This record gives sequence, structure tokens and C-alpha cells, in this order.
Amino acid sequence: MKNIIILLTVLLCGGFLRAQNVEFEKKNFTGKTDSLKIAKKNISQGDKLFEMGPYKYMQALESYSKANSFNPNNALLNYKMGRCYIISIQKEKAITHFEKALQLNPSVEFDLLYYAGNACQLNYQFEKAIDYFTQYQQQLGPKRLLDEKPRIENRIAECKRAKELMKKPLRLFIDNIGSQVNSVYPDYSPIINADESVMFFTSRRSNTTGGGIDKNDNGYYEDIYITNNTNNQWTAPVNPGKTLNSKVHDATVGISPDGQKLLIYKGENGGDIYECKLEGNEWTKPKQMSKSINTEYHECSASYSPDGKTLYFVSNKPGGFGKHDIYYVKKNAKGKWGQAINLGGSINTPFEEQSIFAHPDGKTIYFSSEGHNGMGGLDIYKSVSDNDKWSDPENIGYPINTPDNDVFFSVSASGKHAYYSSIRAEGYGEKDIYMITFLGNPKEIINNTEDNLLASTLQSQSEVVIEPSIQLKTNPVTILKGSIFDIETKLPLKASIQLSDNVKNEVIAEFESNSASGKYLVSLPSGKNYGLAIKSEGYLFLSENFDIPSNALYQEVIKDFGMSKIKVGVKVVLKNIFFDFDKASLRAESYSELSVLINLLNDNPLMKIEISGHTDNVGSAAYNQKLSESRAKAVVDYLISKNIVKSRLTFAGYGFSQAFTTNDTPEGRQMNRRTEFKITEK
Amino acid sequence: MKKIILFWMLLSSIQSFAQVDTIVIHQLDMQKAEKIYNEGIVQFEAKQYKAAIDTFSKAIELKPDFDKAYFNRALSRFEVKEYSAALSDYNKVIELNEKADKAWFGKAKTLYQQGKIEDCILSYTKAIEYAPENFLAYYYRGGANFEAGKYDTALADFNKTIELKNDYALAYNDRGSTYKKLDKLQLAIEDYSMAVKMKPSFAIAYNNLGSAKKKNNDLKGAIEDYTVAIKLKPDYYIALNNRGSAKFEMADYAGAIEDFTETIKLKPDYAFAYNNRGNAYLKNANADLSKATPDFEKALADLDKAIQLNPSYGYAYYNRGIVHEFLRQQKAACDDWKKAAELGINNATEIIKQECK
Repeated sequence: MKNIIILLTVLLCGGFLRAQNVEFEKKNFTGKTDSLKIAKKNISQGDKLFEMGPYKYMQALESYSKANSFNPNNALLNYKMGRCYIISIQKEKAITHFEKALQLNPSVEFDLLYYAGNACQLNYQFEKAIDYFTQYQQQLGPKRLLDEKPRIENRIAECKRAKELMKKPLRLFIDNIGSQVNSVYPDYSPIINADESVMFFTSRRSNTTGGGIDKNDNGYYEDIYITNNTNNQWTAPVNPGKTLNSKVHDATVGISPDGQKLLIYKGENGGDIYECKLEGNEWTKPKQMSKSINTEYHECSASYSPDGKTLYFVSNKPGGFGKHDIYYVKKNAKGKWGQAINLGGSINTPFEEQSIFAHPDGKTIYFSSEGHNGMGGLDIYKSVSDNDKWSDPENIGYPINTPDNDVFFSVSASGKHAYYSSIRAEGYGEKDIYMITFLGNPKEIINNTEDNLLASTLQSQSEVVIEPSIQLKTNPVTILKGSIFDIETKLPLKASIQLSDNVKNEVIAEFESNSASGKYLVSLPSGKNYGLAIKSEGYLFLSENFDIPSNALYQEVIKDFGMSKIKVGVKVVLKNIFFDFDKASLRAESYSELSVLINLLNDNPLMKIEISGHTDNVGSAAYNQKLSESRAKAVVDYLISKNIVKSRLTFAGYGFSQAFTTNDTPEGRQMNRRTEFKITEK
Repeated sequence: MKKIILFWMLLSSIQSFAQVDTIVIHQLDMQKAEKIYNEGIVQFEAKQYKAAIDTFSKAIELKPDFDKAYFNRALSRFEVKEYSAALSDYNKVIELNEKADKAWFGKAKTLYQQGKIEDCILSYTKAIEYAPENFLAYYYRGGANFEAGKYDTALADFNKTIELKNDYALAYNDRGSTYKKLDKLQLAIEDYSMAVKMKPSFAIAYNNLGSAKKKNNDLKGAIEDYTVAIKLKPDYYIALNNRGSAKFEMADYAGAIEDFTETIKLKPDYAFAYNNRGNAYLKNANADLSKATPDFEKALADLDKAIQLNPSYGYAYYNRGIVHEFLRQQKAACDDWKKAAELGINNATEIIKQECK
């Protein structure tokens, strides 16, 4: 009866219902003393854990929940449960508890409204979130307002930005990469090589090295796992064992585009980056990276540029823009990492910058930041460099970015796929690894209509449809991959692949093939004339030319190289020797390749060679013979000018008498126009 | 000689703009050919065209230089779509009298029916030469110029038509269409508005007014005009299809689907409506890519139907490719875009280059 009267009074007076706050006190629970005692014990247990920090919140929640089922109407308990749920997987429950606390006693904690707003934001209820944040701001005293204002304004701006970004969702599909890789435990931080054939990821599953549990959060220690993509299926992950993984946390950080070098994170020295290499089938022991990268501060993420000559990394060392910043180091001529340079104020902010990923196109970086106009927490951004200037970071958009933290994002060289981890309903438990498939460019759907334009004839006329233009994708790359082997034994070879820019006459990068498989992979951003020299100890070098125009689209080229041992009679086509049209004048683009030849001659002082010129069958035999001979002579003259003794060199012009292939096609004729050298003495 | 009776019949129906020329009745007893000729006219008026042709032929047999019999036989032959025969009759009249403006006019109309637009324009020019006040000759020549894509010339013709007859709603409509082609949307809207003001039952002009507004991004105004057109002409499927497209552009996909469905009811073989409804289903479905809604299947079914109705419908292939892309059927998508490219859709060519291996 009493209750009914109270209820009626509340209804009549307020017009809305406010439940009554029920304290855990004897007078409220007559006859339930024992249960009350247990509940109070649960609360104090929970409080101890809660005070230890967020990593104990899940344990705290267990105790709190017990007390809450005894008395669901305590404002403070609901507030604390909200705080625990807000960092859990079940974020929607945070709203329930904060709103319950608000009903029971809005002033139970000064920041209750802030957390209610934050819970709504994380659950995509942006209008309500803005409302709570605004209420929070209004009820703050002047001193606290001064401290809190920037934070509140950021949250409100994030909610507004989120609404904006969600209006234009990205065109993509998100797929769980499958139960053969993902487990019921957290699987995250996937990193892939350029052609998506290998993935490294971090997992906290039960079979991690040592099987130890991190007492901080009750989870297994992190280990690195490897999975390979064969026929569009990821294989069962392999734990690479003790070389990469230890009894404590070992996490993936970055990988070279060819998958031969791995960057990992270890918690020592305040958190440092380590590098390991794949030698044959074995990973080398992780080696702490240079002091220009690692400091006593927290270095936690890193990524190679596709040429391997730049390393981007994240550090919170002092001197930056605040919290973690992104830095880069460049390799000097001696192969040592130079001074770390901050990426600058257009990328780094006073807030967190995290998880850097440099795309194989050599121009684009992806990173996470909480400082650039995002939708909440860390968002993933993209920036493109143009003449060493980074473009304004672009929020990559919803649904990849969410109001929560979005980190560890890696994009395939083709730009068609990206990998990241997320907690989604269709997952196998905790964080799982997902593959994002970007749909092509947005395509305008086209309707057709017609009108009776002329009254004199009822012939209807179709409306002319103006076709929307299609934007070209930016920064395409060519992935060149294959294997290198001994041409006679067919056994895989460890070889170095020297990549040159023929126009600038400079070596861009050097890569190695894997000694066990002979496999190699090189990422060639469009817009350069590339010379490749493939060298292996005791073998005659091979040359290949890739002239990739800047408008070339993404492509994967598979090219295997069979190498010959150095012996008399072996011939090699010099594919990066260029002459002016119809002339014997050597073009400057040829010098990179010729310097490889000069090195070969210097390394083998007894070697004698014949340089020969060959043409296609356009024009007379006599003319072509003369042209090919004078071209061969031009090469010899150049070598002499570079101090190769004249007696070691002969030249010959064969015109089109030694055609390599048919002269009936343009491609055939191009292959037949060539400069060769042959070992005549060793 | 009896009184000369002059018939000038302008059958104002737009489709069959026919004219019956002068009938001269000489003394009945004496002139058998003229008597037979008059019988032919009665038959013509009774729409017995085949009989009329025979009758006029008999008159011509009796009097081989009977220009009016040739003329009326030409008109009768036009009615039964014997265009070549009609042309030779008109040519005979012109041979007999070079200045027979009505024969030039009739010849022009016949040539138009045969799709010989250039010759048609020349004949109208002759008709105008011998009858400079004939606003209809200007009007029709304007139409022919319009169809030949000569919009500036067409505009001059329609201007002249209106100068000669300033209450001619049809000319305002057609001039409006010419302005639309010349990308002078504001002038087009003014002319169409004038046409419907002069002739409030002018459904075509309301439809055109709607389309001009739609092109001018006044989608609300467009929908209002289409609605009037449909009210005036309830089976006007073109206007319904257009209203559906305007709703589509306003992102009212449900409304668009309703209109396209009505269009299909009125004209079940209308490939455009299936194409457009398929697109509307697709738009309805792809708001959330993570969910495969039944609308994708509906979109696919409609675009299949559009292609079935018109196997060389490039845009339908192009659009169906987009549906396949959303359904993650990349190969089917690429196959459709390839077909669209073959059928001349340039965008499909670009897409194939970038997204189909």
C-alpha cells in the first residue's frame, strides 16, 4: 500500500519515474542480513580490483554483478558497473547501468553524465551522447569546467563527425578470415606481405610459448603466428617457435613487402622494436634495432618502406608533438640507420599516434590517431607523400573506423584488400582477424527515360544519358615475383636483386631471394624505368628491364630467373642498354647496367668478353650489320673509358643474323634488338 | 461551269495530318473523270482509302493530266502507308505544276515517313517558297530539322511558326524541346509552360515541362508536372516512368518502385521501366552492404527482364553488373560490363580495364 502511494505521488508530481536509490544498509534489507553481508563483501572485492585499473575491470565486474543481483537499485554500483562494461565487449550494457545510475541518483559521481555520453557514443547513439555531454558541461563548476572543456568539446565534435562519416559508408565487404586462423582467444594485429601470400599475427591462445598467463588481465601471453595463403585459403597458423616467441609477450609489428624480414615488439627497455630475417626456412634470432630507433621510451610500431631504405616507427620519446608520435629513419650508404626524424605536425598531434603501416606503393602511409577530426578513440588515417610532403591525413571512414579505438590496419599492394582485427558478432570469440574487400570505384547506376519531345510526331525520344566519369585509382604498383634458380640443377638460389632507376642512374634498393625456395618479391611503384640486376656468387648476372608508365594499373608479374655459372661461352642479354633511335650513341639510362658489368669484370680479372649487337630485320642486312657493330663498339668504348683493359674486350655486329625470336611481331622485333655479352675466356 | 468547290481539309489529328485538296467539278455530264473523282472524295472521307485509290485511278485513266486526282490519290496512298506510290503521285502533280505547294508539302510528309529527312526538309522548303504564309510547313520543317539534329535551324523554323500563328501550342512545345536540346533549360521551361497554358489538356507538354524541370534539378516541380500529365492521360506510361525517375533522384526509392511498377502494368514490354525499377531495388538494398536483402534479388530479376525484352540494352547490362558486384559475383559482374562495353557503354570499358582481369 505504501509503495503504491509513493508511486502515485511520483507519477503525479514529476510526470516521470525516478526509482529510489537503495543503499546497501540494514534498514533496507530487514531479514536479509546474511545476503547483505555477502553483497557488501562482493562490492569491496570489486572495488579493490577496480582501483587496480582497467585491466582488472573484468574481474571487478564479476564481483559487482553478484552484488547487483541482490540489489539492482544502487546508483554507485551501477556507475561502477557501467565503467567496467564501457571497456568490455558488451558496451551496450554500459548505457543500461549509467542510465540506471542517473535515475537513482544523478549526482552519485561528478562524471556520471560524461560516462553516460561516452557509452552512448561508443554505441553509435550520437544524439543522446551529445545531449549527455552538454548536460555534463552545464553542471560543472567553473574550475572543473576549465579543465574538462577541451575533452567535452572533442567528444561532441567526434559525435558530429561520426554522423557525417556514417552518411558515406565505404564500399567494402568485411569477412572473417575463418576458423582455421581465428580462435576463441584474441587474434589481432595482422600484417601481410605485398601479395598477401603470408600473414603474421598476434594471438593470445592457449598454446602460446610456455603457456603462461599474464596476471594483469588473466589472458595468455602474446605469441606471433604465421599463416600462408594457398589457393585463397589461409593455412592453419604455425607458431614459429622459440626464435620469435618467448614465454612473455611477443607481438607482430611489421613485415617487409617480400615477407623476408619481420619487425617484432618486445616489452624490454620500455618497449623496443626487433628485427629478424628469414634465412632459408629459419628465422634469425630477433635483433634489437639501432639506437636511433629504440630508446628507453616506448617504441611500439614500425613499418618498412617498400625499398627497405626507410623505416617508420612510433615512439613516445620526448621532443615530439605529445604522447606517441610517428618518426622515420633512413638507411645510409653503409646500410646503417640514420637519425630519427619526426614526421611533422601535419601527421603528429598532441594526442596519440599509433600503428604505422607504409603501403608497398612507396607513397602512402596508414596510421591511427586520436588527434585528427575522428569519430572517437583512435581512428585510422591515410596520408600520401608528394615530394617528401605529407598530405593532410584523411579519415579512411566508416565502417572501418568506429567510435572506439581502431588500430593495426594493413593494406595489400593491390589496394583491393585490407586486414584488421575487430570484435564482431560473426566472430569466433574475442578479437578476430578480418579481411576487408574494397569494392571498385563507386559506379553510378543509370536510369533510362524518354519524352515525346515533338508534338508533330509521337515518336518518343530517349533522354541522353551523360555517363558519369570514373576516377582512376591512385598510386598503383607492379608486384614482380618469382623464383631464382640454377639453370642446370634447377635448385633454388639465394641471389641479390638490385633495383635501379635507369633515368636517375641510381640504385633504388636491393633485395634477396630466399635461399630455401629461391622466391623473391619486389614492389615497383608505377612511373619509373626500372633496371634489375640479379646477382649470385659464382653466377653470371642477369638483367631485366621494367618500364612502368605512371598510369599503369596494379599488376602482378611472375618472372623466374635461371642463372648460369660463370664459364666460357655463356651469354647474357643486357636488357638495360639503350641507344638513341637509329644511332650508336649510348644513352645515359644504360650506365646503371654497365656499372654491374664493370664490377663483374673487376671481380674476375682474367675474364674476357665479347660484346655483340643485334637488330631486327627492318632495313637492309648491310645497314643493320653496320649499326649493330657500331653499337657494340660504343659499349666497348664506354668500358675502356672506365679503365677496363682493351685487350679483354672484343665487339661484333651480327645485324639480324642471330634473331632471338620471330621478327614478325613488334614484341619479337623488340626482343631481337639487343646487346649481349659472351664470356670468351675466364 | 459549275461553281468551284474548294475543300481544304486539315485533319487536325496529330498522327494523321491529312489534307484533301481542291475538287473542281466541271459540268457533270460532260466530264466523267471529274464525276468519278468526286466519288473518290466521298470514299476518302469515309476512310475507304483502298477504294478511293481505285476510284482516283479511274479518273486519271480518263484524264491523264488530272493533277487533283493525282494529289488525292497520293493522300489516299499515304493513309494506307504506300509511301513510294504516294511519292510518285506527288511528283506527277509537281511535274504538272511546279508551284503546287501542297504537293511539295505532301511530298515532304511522305519523305519524312520514309525517314528521308534531308529530302523532306528540301520539299518543305519548296512548299514554303510557293506558300510563304503556311505556318504548318515551317512547323513540320522545324520538326524535321530537329530530328536531323539541326537545332539552330529548327529553332528558326519554330520561331517563324509562332510568328505566323502565335497561339499554336504545339509549336511552343516543340520549340521548348529545341531549347532543351540547346541546353537553354530556362527558355525551354518558359515555352512548355506557355504550351500548357494555351492548351491545358496538353499531356505531352506537361511531361516535357516535368522533364525540363527534372534536368534543371527542380525535382519537386517535375513530379507535379508529371502528375498532371498522368492525370490528363492515365495510360501515359512515359510520364509515369519519368516520375519514377524523378522520385529515384530524390532518393525516394519506394515511391520510384511504385511508379515503375505502375508503368510496367501499363506497358508490360517496357524495358526502361524494368531497368529503372531494378536500379531502385538496388538502391534500396545497398544502404547496408553487410546485409544481403531480398531487394538485391528483385533488382537482379528486373534487370534480367529488361535484357530479355531488349537483348542489346547496354545500360541494363551495365547496371546488372553493378548488382552482381554487390552480390560479390565478380565474374558475372565483369561479364555484364564486357557485354555493356560491346554495346557502346564507355564507362563499362573503363571499369573492365581497372577491375576485371
